[in-house]
Amino acid sequence: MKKPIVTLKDVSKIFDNGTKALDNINLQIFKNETIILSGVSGSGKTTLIGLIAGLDRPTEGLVEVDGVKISKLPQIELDSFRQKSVGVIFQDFGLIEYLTVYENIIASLIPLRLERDIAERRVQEAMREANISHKANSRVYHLSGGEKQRCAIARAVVNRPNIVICDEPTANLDLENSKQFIKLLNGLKSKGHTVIIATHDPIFERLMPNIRKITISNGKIENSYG
Amino acid sequence: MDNTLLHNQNVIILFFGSISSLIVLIIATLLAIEIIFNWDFNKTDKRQHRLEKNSWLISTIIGFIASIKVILLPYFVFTIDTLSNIVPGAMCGAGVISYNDYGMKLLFIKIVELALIAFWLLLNRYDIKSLYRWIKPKMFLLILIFAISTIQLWFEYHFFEAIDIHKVVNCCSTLYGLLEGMNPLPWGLDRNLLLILFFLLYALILSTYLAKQEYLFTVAVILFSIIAYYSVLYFFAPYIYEQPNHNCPFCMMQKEYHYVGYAVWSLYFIGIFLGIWSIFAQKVLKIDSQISKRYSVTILGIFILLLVGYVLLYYYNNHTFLQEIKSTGMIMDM
Repeated sequence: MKKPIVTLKDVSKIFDNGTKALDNINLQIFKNETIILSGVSGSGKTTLIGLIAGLDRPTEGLVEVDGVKISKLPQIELDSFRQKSVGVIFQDFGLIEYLTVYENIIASLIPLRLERDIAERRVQEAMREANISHKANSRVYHLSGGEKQRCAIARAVVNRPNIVICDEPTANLDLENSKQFIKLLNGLKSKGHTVIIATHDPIFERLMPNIRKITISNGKIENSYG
Repeated sequence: MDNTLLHNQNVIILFFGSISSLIVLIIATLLAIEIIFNWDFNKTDKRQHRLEKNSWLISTIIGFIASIKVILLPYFVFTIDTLSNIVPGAMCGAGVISYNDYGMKLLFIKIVELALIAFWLLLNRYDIKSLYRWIKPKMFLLILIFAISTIQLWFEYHFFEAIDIHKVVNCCSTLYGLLEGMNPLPWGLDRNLLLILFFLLYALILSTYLAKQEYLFTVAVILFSIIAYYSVLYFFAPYIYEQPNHNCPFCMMQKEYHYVGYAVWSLYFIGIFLGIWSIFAQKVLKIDSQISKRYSVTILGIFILLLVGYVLLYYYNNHTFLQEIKSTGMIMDM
């Protein structure tokens, strides 16, 4: 029997203003699986991946990632877990504009306190994996949308996480760059990463037809197929 | 005319710090009580999630209080030293703090309070690493800190309220001076034996640290804390003041002595605290405490170097050591 790498048990999230973003979610995601979380804006996709990434905590329920009950971890331990186990690609990329591609990527390794040559080797590998090595010394504000996206991918995988989470990754990309991005995602899967994509872009369903799709509506899982 | 010191600006600042930290401590204590009664780490319901969040809030509050108290303790010493300018008869903080029965007790409570807060923060660090294994003892300790903070505020009020700026107090030479025929040292020690014990005990601390002898290390640290206190007062202080009959623990915190007393007493208390903490960490928390021991040994080593530095400096300047006090109270060089 396959062991889940992500387990959500009776998870609810209510924000301080009383909005119920997630309502009693139960979900399992398995190792090396790629899944799409789809749903309209405001359905709870981003909240859900925020909980899986350890960026937020549930109001109720248990979130277990990579064998660790992350919803029970104290903040400092959670930060440490996230640095080692999860890579996140944000919708707006979340890059530091005035730093170079290389600096943006190596910055995420600082908390791991790796030796310099090991860190540099990892950055080179990540840039190769995301096909952005040729722009290593370019500042982010000089990059196109697609290049920024690839830089964000390199930064997400540089700490060798078991799970890569993408939040609306193609929202700022044209069709050609979106296709390139999906090709890169398939590459991540082949290297053993579990990939979770929150999106309402239909291109994923067209170009990744054989993966599991979970539809979220009003904070509840409406259906899961694939 | 109002004769009390309650309207003095330094005293107001002290009260402001004590009261504001007590207010946030009340919040932390209420949260701690709820945690003591309702904590169940295996649960994942709303209340347990809220309690976990509250435990982090408590950590933040104690961190905040620690940062205030770490400033307030030396500020208290600075204040009583400043007040010696307006309290007749007092030459330094010693005269002011000995004005009534509350003074020395208040200083003691303040030191204990800060030590307990530091202890709580260290315990919190290991509690977080062990996923709340120490949550309930930590919360009980918090309640104890709250009780001590309340008592501290009560003592602080009564101490300052009772000081009458028209009443003459004793100066430090009366309080800490060596009177004829009187030996202020414990266990009938003389100064030479005191000094030998001072260095021998540090050597014992160092060797038990290297040999990883936990209990001997703790015994050595506790004995050193007593011997070091008297050594500072009755051997090293005269070298700091360059006066053989000046044994005050407070004057060295004045500007004339480059505020060195703050460094001396900080190194002393931190070094002793870490030494005692390390045995607790080793035996109760079951964690390797060699790092705290290393810090303790290093800090106490710096403490000794600082004090010995004053002796050597005196010798370099005067080509002689200070001689033991004659029965007449005369100051003499050897």
